[in-house]
Amino acid sequence: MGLEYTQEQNEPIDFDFTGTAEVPTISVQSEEVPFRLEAGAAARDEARRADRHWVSCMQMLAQIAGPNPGIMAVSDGITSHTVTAFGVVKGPEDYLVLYHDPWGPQRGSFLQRGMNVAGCAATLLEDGSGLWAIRAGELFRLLDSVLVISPKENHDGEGSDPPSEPR
Amino acid sequence: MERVQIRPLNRDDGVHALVDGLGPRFRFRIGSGSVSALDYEAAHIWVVDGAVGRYSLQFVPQRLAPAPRPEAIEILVSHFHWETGFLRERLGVEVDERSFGSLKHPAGTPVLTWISRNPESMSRADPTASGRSDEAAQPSPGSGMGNATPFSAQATLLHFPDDLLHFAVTGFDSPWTEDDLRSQVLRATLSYFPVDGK
Repeated sequence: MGLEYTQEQNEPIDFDFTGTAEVPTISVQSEEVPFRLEAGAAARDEARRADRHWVSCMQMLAQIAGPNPGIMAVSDGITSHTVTAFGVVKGPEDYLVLYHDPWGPQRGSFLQRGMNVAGCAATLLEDGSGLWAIRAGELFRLLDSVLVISPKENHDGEGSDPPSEPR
Repeated sequence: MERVQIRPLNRDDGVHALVDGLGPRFRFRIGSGSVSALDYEAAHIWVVDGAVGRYSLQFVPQRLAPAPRPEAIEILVSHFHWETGFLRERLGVEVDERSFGSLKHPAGTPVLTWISRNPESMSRADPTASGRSDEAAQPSPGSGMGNATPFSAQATLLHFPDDLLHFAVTGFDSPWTEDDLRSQVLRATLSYFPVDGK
């Protein structure tokens, strides 16, 4: 939708103002203009959202790049799923997230090509570990949140609880 | 210091800068949309006309002194204190220390970020202090860049083994908020990616 004219312009309009011919008047429906301005504001808001989403995803990537595994909640807008991240390695062009998909070897992974509508194409590692690898940029299309798992530290013996603090 | 060479690199998320001459080669994202480079006394400045609005991104590499190295975070905090003093004493620009924040890059290095403010805009900046973000980003008359925001977002990270990379983003005209500029400077900083080596 753009500017609309009140007069149909079936014929070319003569804009020769030096002549005596009557010049047809064209009036513009100015109420269309605010709509266009709002469209610009919407584009800015969308760009802001995209920038913050990317920064947020990079921070989540930094979390799962640590020594502890992390549960990643992913969604392509139709299907939601969780996988377990086991680290981040540097690929030739992007970081690669290594993860395990509970779907198992028979079914494959939600993040592999053809199993999601976001166009992600994770690949199964060939080392027999059962882990998958996905480029960080692809993962960001689906990544909703990350929960990093910190194993309990033993304080005074295996399996014991830490001493409680007096209140 | 080896001569720094920066080449544009188009990627699916925008234009990146491919940097040679600062140790291992690396890249970072400048922005998407219309990107042009400014030659301001050899400072590395780009003006981006992106979706949110027009902004400048300045990249300032600094060689670390050849001394016993403390932890990465200590180097960055030391740089932050130096930067704070430099901005205040030489340029009259204040750093909002409450805006100071840190986060972690996926490569493992910490990143520091903060906001610098100059309520009287950047126009009184010392023109002899070349290469600094807060006056270099100031548009020249007739440049068509518009009015600079009275605040700039800054971020710093380490590029091992010998360099510190500083980024600064200043907005022009559009309704930029501090959070917007912080997002832009973090997009540049967090997109840092060593192309060669591990």
